[in-house]
Parts: sequence; C-alpha cells; structure tokens
Amino acid sequence: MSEATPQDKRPDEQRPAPAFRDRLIAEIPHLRAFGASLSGSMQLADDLVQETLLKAWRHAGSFTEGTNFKAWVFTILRNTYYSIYRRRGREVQDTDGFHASQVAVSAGQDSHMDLADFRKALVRLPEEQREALIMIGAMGLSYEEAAEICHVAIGTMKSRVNRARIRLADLLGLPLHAEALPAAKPPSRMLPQLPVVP
Amino acid sequence: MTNGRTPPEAGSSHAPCEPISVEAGHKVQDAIGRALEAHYVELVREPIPDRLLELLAKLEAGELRHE
Repeated sequence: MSEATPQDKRPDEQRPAPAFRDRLIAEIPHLRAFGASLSGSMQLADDLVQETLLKAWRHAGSFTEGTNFKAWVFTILRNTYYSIYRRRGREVQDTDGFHASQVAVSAGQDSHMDLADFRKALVRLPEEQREALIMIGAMGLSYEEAAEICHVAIGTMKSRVNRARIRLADLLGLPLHAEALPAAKPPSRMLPQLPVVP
Repeated sequence: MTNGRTPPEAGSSHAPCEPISVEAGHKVQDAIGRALEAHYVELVREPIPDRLLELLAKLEAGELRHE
C-alpha cells in the first residue's frame, strides 16, 4: 500500500471512536461518486477514497466535533486529488473509466440524452466548474458547504456553478443564455423593468 | 438610421445570438439537473469495494497505525 502522507509530528494516541468509523463508512459512496466525477474513473476514485480514509483516520483528532463532518472529509478527498493526481499531470480525457451506462435522461420535448453523452460533456468542463456543479447540482450540498470544501467565497462558488451550467448546455447542444438563467435561489427581486423617464 | 441601433434582420433564419426564452432556459436547466442526478445516483449506488471496508477494519484493529 503506497503511503504518501507525511507522518504526524505528534502521533495522536487517541483512537478514533467507532462512531467515527461509522460516519466514514456512511460517506464512502458519496466520496467515490465525487472522486469519480473529479477524476473520470471509478478506479481512480477508489484509490482516492482509500487515501482519504487513511488520512481521515490518522488526522481524526483534527476534526472538531460539532462542525461539518461531510465538509471535513470531502476537503481531504479534494486536497488529495489536487495534490497527488493532478500533480502527476493526469487530466480527465474521456469517460472510459465509467462503465457504459445505458441510462437515458429526458431532455424535455420528447427528446432524451444518453447519460454516456452527458458524461462526455461533463468531463470537458474545467475542473473547478465540474466539481462545483457536482457538489451543488448532484450532491445537493449548500453553496456554503461547497465554498468551504473548495476554500473559496460563496459568490465564487455561485458563479462557477452558473458558468458550468452555461458551458455544459453548450457542449450538449442545448444552448442556454445567461439571460435565461434563474437566480440561484428563487428570485427575491421581481421588480418589473420601469421605463426610464428622461 | 442615425443612432446606431439597428433592429435584427427580419426573416433571418439563423440569428445565433438571440437569447432563448426564460421558459426554454428553465427546460434546459431541468434537463441538466436530471442528468446530473442520474449521473450521481448511478455512481453512488455502486457497491462499496471490500478493500475499502477491509482498510477501515485494519485501521480500527490498529494494524496500520504508523507504518
């Protein structure tokens, strides 16, 4: 088992409680799905999750009880991806790492798109847009959680998600203009455009 | 035509920059939303590989503590 984690300077002798293990186990399916969405490969995702579990266990003492566990563990996975896999120059090129999906998704107006085609478009998004879209649009994280995981401002996260949607629509041949984008939340300002009085 | 703004040519079959309607935009958004969920749900439902669970079991048993 390759281990790239630097050893703790002060080994934490406190053993993580069984509840900690259970919380990690509960996140594994989501960590794998997120890792696969980032890397374009389920196999790479499993390597990433393995590394993440090791780090989480060894640094269990750095998790503050009462804070967001999901954000904590996803931050570890994401940092691992960017520090190890990206550094090796891996770029997602295709979706061969996903098993060929036969699922079709309704695209409205009697049209359908294949999940396989959707994934090809998804991996062509810039990474920061792809991860933002997955966290918000697929995992259902809040903008606050996603921003915490990526260490960016909430506004940055919102703009990444919007740009991701526009780019993805273009890649899918479903053009979407910025004017047609709904506000991130149901619009709170519904003021009609007033005529300008000279 | 003195003030610079020309209306779009009527009858032009391809007006590339014409914004789509808000309603059409919502449909595209919905389609992308459904596809994102389908993508994610399919991945999340895959069974957890044994090696990951075995790793946690070893960590818990203290077999992999400071190697």
